[in-house]
Amino acid sequence: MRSEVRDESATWEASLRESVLDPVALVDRQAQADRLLAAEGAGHLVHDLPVRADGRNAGLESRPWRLDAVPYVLDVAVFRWLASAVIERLEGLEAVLSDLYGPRRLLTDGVVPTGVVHADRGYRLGVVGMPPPRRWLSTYAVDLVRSVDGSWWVVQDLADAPPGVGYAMLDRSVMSRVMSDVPGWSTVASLARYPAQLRQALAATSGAPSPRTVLLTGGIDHPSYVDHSYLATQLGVHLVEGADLVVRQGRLWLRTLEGLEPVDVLYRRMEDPGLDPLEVGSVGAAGVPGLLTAARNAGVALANAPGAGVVESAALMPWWSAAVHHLTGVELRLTPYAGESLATTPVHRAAAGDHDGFGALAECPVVLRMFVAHDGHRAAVLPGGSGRVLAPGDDPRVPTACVAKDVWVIGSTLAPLVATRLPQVDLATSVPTRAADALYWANRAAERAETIVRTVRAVRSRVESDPGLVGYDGGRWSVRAQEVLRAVSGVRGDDVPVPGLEPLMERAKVALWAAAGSIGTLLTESTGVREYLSVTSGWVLERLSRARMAMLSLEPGAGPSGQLPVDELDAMLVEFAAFAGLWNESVVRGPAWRIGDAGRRIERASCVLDLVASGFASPAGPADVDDPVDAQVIETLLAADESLVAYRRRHRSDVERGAAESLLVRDRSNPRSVVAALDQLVEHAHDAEWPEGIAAATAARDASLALPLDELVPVVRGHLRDADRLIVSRWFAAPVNPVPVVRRTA
Amino acid sequence: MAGGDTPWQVVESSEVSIDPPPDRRDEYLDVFGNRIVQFGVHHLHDHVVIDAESVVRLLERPDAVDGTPWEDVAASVRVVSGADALEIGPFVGASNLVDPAADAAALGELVTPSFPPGRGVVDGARALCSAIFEEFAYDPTFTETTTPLTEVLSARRGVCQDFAHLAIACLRLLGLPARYVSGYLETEPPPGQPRLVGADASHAWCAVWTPLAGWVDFDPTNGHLPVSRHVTVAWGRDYADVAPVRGVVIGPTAEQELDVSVDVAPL
Repeated sequence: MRSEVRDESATWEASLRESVLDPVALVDRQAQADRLLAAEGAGHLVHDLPVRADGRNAGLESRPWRLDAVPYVLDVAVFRWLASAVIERLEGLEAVLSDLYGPRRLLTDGVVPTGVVHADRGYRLGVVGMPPPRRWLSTYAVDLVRSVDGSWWVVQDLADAPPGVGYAMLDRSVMSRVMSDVPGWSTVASLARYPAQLRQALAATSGAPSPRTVLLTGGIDHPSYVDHSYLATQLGVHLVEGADLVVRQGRLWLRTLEGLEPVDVLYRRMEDPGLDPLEVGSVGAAGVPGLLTAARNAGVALANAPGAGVVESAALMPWWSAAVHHLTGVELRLTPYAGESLATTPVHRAAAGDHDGFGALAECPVVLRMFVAHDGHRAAVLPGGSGRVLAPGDDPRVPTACVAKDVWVIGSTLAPLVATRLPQVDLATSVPTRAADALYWANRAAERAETIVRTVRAVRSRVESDPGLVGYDGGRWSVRAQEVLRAVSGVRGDDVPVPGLEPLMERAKVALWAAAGSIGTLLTESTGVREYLSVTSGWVLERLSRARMAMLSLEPGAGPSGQLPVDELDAMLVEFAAFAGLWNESVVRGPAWRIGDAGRRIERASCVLDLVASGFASPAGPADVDDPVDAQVIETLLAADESLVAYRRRHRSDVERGAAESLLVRDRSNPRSVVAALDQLVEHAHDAEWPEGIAAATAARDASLALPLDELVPVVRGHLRDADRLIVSRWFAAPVNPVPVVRRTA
Repeated sequence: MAGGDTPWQVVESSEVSIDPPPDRRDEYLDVFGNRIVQFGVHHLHDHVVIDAESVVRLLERPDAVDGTPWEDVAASVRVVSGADALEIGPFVGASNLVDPAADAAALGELVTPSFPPGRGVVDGARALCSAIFEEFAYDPTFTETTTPLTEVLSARRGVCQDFAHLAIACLRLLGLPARYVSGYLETEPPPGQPRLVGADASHAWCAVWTPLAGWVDFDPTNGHLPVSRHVTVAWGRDYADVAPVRGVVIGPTAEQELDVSVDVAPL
C-alpha cells in the first residue's frame, strides 16, 4: 500500500543530507562506528575463545555486524503513516491469534486452510483451547520494503520472539556518538522512551500488582546473544538462561544466591520450541521443564505468549489480510511483498564490504525493521529501527549477511518525555547463581592473567636494564627467574631450566600464552554477565581481547626479537588495572560484587604463594643472605607483585629476604600481600553470614600469619582449595540442563 | 497411558500411580482429548515407577463402510470447513515425524497400486495396509523410536510405529486425513504355555478419515483391520504427540534409562 507521503526529497533536509554524506567525514565516522560497535557490543566475542566448563562456546555466531555510517532516514510524516499501518497489522494479527487458539472461526469458516495452519511448526496445538493469555503479542516487529513507486510492503512478520530491538538501540548508541556533531542531529527522534514503554508492555502481561520480570536468553552461544544482553541492560532486568529457572508449586522461580525467587513475567527471547522440553515438538532438552504448564495455570506470564509464532509463517502470510478482514472488518494497509522492484538509498560502500570504497556511496535497497510494544491499551512504535542493506538483486525475503543501518526519524515534534511509573521491585539484590559463578571465575582469571603479565614484565625489564645479569655466575638468576615464570603461569613440567637469555625468553613467551588463556576465560565469563559490569568495562574487555590476540601471535623459537615490547606489556597492565578499578568503583556492593571479589582475593593469595614458593626456594638449598643473585630474584618477585615501590619506601637498604617475605605475605597494610587478600575474604564471608566460609578463610589467614614460609605455603594452599570448593558447592550449586528420558534400545 | 472412551471402548476404571510420590501432579486433556498426567519429583531419587492400570470393556466394532472414491474425499478435504475443519485439520499435512513431501517418490510408489482411480477410500486404505504388511519385514532390532521414514523405506523393515507412520505418510500424500493411534494389543500365549506377565508391548496403528464412516482404524503391522483386541490409549498426528512417557532428568550425573513392561489380560 502506498503511503500518503512519499516525496523522497522531503525525507532529507538538504543540509543534513550534505553533512551526513560528506565523503571525508564519512571515512572518519565509519572507522569510529566500527570501533564503537566493537567496544559496546560484540567486540570481544571472537571465535576462538575457550569452551566453558558447561561445554558452551562464546560468540561463534555473534560476531559483530557492520554498521553503515550513513543512516536510513524517514521523514516524520512517512514514519507516522508507517507506524499506524504497523500497529494496525499488529492488532490484526493479535485478533488472528485469539481466533486460531480460541474459537477457530478462521478454520470453520474456511477463510484460512486448516491443513496449512496445522502443518505449520509455529501452530502449537497444545495451546488450543487453553485459557488465553492477557496478550498474544506484547512485542512485534515487521520487515518492510519500499518499491520504486513509493509503496511499502511486508517482507516478514516477527511475532514469536521478535529479534533485533537490542541491536537497534545499540546501533543508535553508536551513531549518536559518531554523529552528534552533525548539524540537524537534534531533529532526529530519540529512542529514549522505548525501554520504559517496553517495560510497561511486559508488566501488562501479568496480573501481579508488582510483577518481577526477567529476560530469557539461550546464552552466549545463541546467535542473538548480544541483542539480548544489551536489551537486558537497557531494561534493567535480569538476563537469565533456562538452567537459572525452575518450576515449583506450579509457578516459575529464579535460582539466586539467596535461594528461589518468584518470577512473574518471562520476557522470552528464546524461540517457542526451546521453551519447555516436556512439550510436543520441543527441540532437545532446552528450556525449563514444566514452563508451559505453569504458564497455562497462570504461574507465570510469557511475552510473547507461546504459539504466537504461527503468524510468522511465510506459507500463511498470504491469508492474513483476508483473515483480519473476516475477524475485524479492517483492510490491512500493509500487504505481502511479491517481487516489486525496490527503491534504493545511499549506502557507504566501505561498510558494505568494498575495501576501496571509503567515502564512496552506492545505492542499495534496504529492508526496514520496525519494532512495537503493546501494553493492551496502547501501542508504542520505536521511532527508529534497523535497516538491513541488500546487495542489488538480493531477495529481501532471504536472510543476508548483515550490514545494518540506523534508522532516523527526522523533523518530528514528538511528545515530551513522560515518566512511566511501574511499581519498584527489588530483584536488584538477587543474583542468579549462574551469574555469580561467571563473576567469580572472571575475577579469578583477571587476577591470574594480570600477575603473569606483571611477572613477565618484571623479568623483561630486569634483563633490559641489567643485561649482564643473565650471564652472571653461570646464569643462576635466569634459571630462578624461569622457575618463577613457570610457577606463576601454572605451566607444569619437571625439566630443569637451562641458563641463558634464549631459554628465559622462551619461558616468558609460554607464560604469556598462559595469560592469553586466562584472558580468554575472563572474556568468556564476562560475556555472560555484561549487565553487571559498567559500560566502560566493555572498552577494557575489548582491549584485553586485542592484547590476547597479540600474545597468541607470538611465535615459538623466534628468540628475544619475537617478544612483545615492555611498554606494550605496561599498556596491558593498565587495562588490567582499569578492569579491577571499574570492578571496585562501578559495581554496586552486594552479593554479586562480593562473590566476584572473593574470587579475586582467592586468586591473589594463590598468585603470591606461587611467587614466593618458587622465588624463595633456591635450587641450591636455603638462600644465602649475602648472595647477590638471591637479592635480584627477590627484587623481581617484589616487582611481580607490584610491591617494589612499597618496599623501597619502607626499607632504604638493599633488598633483604626477611623484609621482603614479610611485605609479600604478612603485611596487612600492603594490599598485595597474602594476608591482606585473606582479610578481605574473611570479611566477605562475614558479610554473607556464612559460618563455613568464615572458618575456611580465617584458617587460611591465621596460618599465613603464624607459620614460617616453608610450612605455610602448602597449608595455606590447602585452605584456599577448601574455600574454593566450599564457595562452588554452597553458592553456585551448578544449575544443569535437563537430560531427556529415553527408551533403552534393545 | 490411560485411555478414554470411544464408540467401541468403555473405560471402567483407570489409575495412574507414581512412586516415589511426586511433589507436583497436574492432569489435563490435550487438544485431541487424550488424558495427560504431568508430574515432577523434585527431590533426590534413583528411580521412578509409573504404574497405569485400566479396566476396559471392548465392544464389537461394526465393519466400516464408505465407498466414496478417494479422489472425492481428498477434494473435499482441500476445501473443508465447519466442525470437520477442526476434526481433520491436524491430520492432513506434515507433522513432527511424518513429512509426506520429504519422501514423496518412494511413498508414491508404495501407495499408488492400492489407490487406483475411483476406488473407495476404505478399500484403498485396506489394500495399502496389506501392501505394507507384505512388503515390509517386522524387525524389532532395526529401529529406534525416531527412525526417519527414509530409512524405513529403503531398508523395508521396521516396527509397528514405523508402519503406522508409513501408512499415515502415504495417506496424507494423497490428501487423505490420517492419524496415529497408540494403544495395546492383547496377545495370545503360544499354545500350551501360560500367559507371561509383562510380555506384551505397546502397539501402534493408524486411522483414516472418511466422510461417511469417520475415523476408520487399520493395523498395517498385522495386515488386517483392528478387531476387538486393540485397546486404544491415545491418538495424535504421529508418535511425537502421544509418546507414552516424555520427560527429563536433572542432575550432575543424570544417567538414566527407561524400561517398559505391558500386560494385557482378559478379566
